[in-house]
Amino acid sequence: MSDGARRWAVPAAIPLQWRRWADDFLVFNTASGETHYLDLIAAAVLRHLESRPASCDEIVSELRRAFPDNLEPPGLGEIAALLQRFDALGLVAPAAP
Amino acid sequence: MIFGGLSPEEAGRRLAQGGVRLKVGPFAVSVQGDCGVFGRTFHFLYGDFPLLDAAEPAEFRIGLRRPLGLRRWLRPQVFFYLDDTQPFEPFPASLAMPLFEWGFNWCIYEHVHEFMLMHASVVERNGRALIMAAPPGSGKSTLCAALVHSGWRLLSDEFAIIDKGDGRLLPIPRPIGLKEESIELIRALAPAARFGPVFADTRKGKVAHLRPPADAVARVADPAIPAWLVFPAYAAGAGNRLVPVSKAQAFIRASENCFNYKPLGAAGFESLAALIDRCDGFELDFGDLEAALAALDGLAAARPELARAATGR
Repeated sequence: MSDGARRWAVPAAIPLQWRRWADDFLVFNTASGETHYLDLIAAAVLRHLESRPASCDEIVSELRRAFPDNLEPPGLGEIAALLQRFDALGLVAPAAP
Repeated sequence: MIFGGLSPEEAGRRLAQGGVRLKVGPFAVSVQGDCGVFGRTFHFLYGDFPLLDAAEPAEFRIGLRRPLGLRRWLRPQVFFYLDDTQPFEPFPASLAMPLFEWGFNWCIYEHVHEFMLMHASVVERNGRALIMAAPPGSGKSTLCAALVHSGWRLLSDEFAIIDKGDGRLLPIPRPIGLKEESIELIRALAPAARFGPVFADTRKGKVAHLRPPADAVARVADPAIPAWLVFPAYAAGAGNRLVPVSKAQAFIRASENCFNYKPLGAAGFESLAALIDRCDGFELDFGDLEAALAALDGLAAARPELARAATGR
């Protein structure tokens, strides 16, 4: 399976708490006790994965739909790197295909 | 009755025997000490605090005791006790007062979990609190002492005690510990300020304690609503700069200054977020105390609606 097709999700066992101020987001991982700062794009990705599993390809499409005015939408490589960081922080995990 | 209502001799006698119980902020504290110099200084610095009945339960039972044997007389030492435990190495007996203050701080940040605790000085005007959060050496106690002697009420020099339920800041107006040049700076700025003795050779250099104003101690049951969160940083000779910080930045920096943010878990996240919602956040770099005071006074003046809301006018 290509990186773009691998599916990710926020595990149900990890409830996240959110706070938004303008385009800045904080998310509290109740499993790890860690707090993370996210920008608008990173928050949109994590929110999407909180609602349902998605692949990298699907996330890129979703971001293009959600931010139509963004002149430089993040590409597959950037989203894959972001998901790796989320995975390392315990915010997401691979989901069933 | 307040502790200062006892004569120094009677206070010393009680301290040396069963100890005294004082109401200090939200806590009842039992203090017992058999060092003569400590008793006089403690009686002066805590003179305005309510004296509790000896039967009243105490959150903290603190003892300052000299060892038996030779070290009682030869280069005498003093031990800090919490209940029957001895958490620190002994200090020279002459430094019993600084040992008490540092030990009492330790008791609070190690043992108090019902509140969120931030390492910060807190002052209040018109019901609204200015929180100055920073690590040691940032000048927050100097700013706090100067503000307290220019019209702000002292809530605390060491801890922002945040009620997790309603988000208000609880007063714990203890003596303000000043170090090195700050002592003379505040003496010059506020000639009416009442200092305890100067301790020349502590682990933190020269230290003196400023007696908390009587009106601040009397208003211990009067909490304040958070309005400003400032991160001060003193640099000798530097210019002054007060700049806004974003809510998210303020949150991250405030959490780094909390003693118990992580142990509180999700409740800590919610409490701190609620505090950030209420506060305007700023970074304050300062090298000139009077200019820094003017800048902080300006914050209160710039939000007169807060004063009107607080006073009902």
